[in-house]
Amino acid sequence: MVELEIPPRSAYVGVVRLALASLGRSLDLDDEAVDDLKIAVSEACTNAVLSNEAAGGDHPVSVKWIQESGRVVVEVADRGDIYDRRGDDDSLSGGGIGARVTMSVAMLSSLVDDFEISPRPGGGSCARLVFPL
Amino acid sequence: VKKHTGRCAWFERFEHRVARRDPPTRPYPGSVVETLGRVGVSGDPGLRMRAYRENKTSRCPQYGAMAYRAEDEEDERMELGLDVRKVDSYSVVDVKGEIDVYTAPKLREKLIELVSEGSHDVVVNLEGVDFLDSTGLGVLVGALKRVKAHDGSLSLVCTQDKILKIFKITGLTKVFPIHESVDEATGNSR
Repeated sequence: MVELEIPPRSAYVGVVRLALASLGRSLDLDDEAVDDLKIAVSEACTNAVLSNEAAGGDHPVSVKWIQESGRVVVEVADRGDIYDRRGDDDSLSGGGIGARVTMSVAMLSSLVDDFEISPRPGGGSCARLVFPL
Repeated sequence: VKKHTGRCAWFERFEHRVARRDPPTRPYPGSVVETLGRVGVSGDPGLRMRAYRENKTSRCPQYGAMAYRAEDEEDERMELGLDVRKVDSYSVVDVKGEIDVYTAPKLREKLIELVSEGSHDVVVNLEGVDFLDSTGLGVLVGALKRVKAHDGSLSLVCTQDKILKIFKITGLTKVFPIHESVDEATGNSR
């Protein structure tokens, strides 16, 4: 397992993307799979960073890379508020989660094998992404 | 596994490139694995990535850009290039680099500036873009709404499969006119 903790700021999302892409390449994933991994990981981290900002906290975002037989599980955990609209340039929908998060969830759902986002005890949420090997 | 918190100091000093043809048997000094190990994060020793300590001479632009990030967090979004040119009545924005949560604000500012200066027919050329995420899409959707408010248009130029895929997944291919070239977008193709 590899675990990274980043400050909840946008500049660090690219750091995670780069580190996990190179982990993916080390497993001989092809270019398309690495691209999908980069986007999905980036989306999860972006959601975490923006929702953390929204909640006004400075809690680090934790990223876990867990290699299992035939798959890799990436977990991104934050202490933020996913329902905040921060990061929406212009809101498209009337209520509920914002337009950017909606697009983000659509992207995550189609890029990974299995995707779920669940609340964490004590606040925040954890996104769990499963990639086939 | 010990955790590393605070600033990602291990990333600030390095530029990276992938050295796939020469897989190391143990982490190169200065590699991500080695640096992760040094700061107390365990990694996969098979990682085939090498870091160079040279100062800002990027061997791989995609990764080289990373070195600038943490150094000057607030500004210096060096990795996103934005060049604006006029083609007939269109303003063409040639975007280069990665559009993510960190760089998207720069694109948003540029597009807002163009519209407020009276450019209501905008072409965003994404051919030089390596990466696009939901924040980038949000900026483009926002810009589309702005130009529409002035009876203008916003179209995109993109032929890269990995970028087109993002528009397909999110259903935005139905929202943006997507062209294969700037000439096509500006009506100059023959």
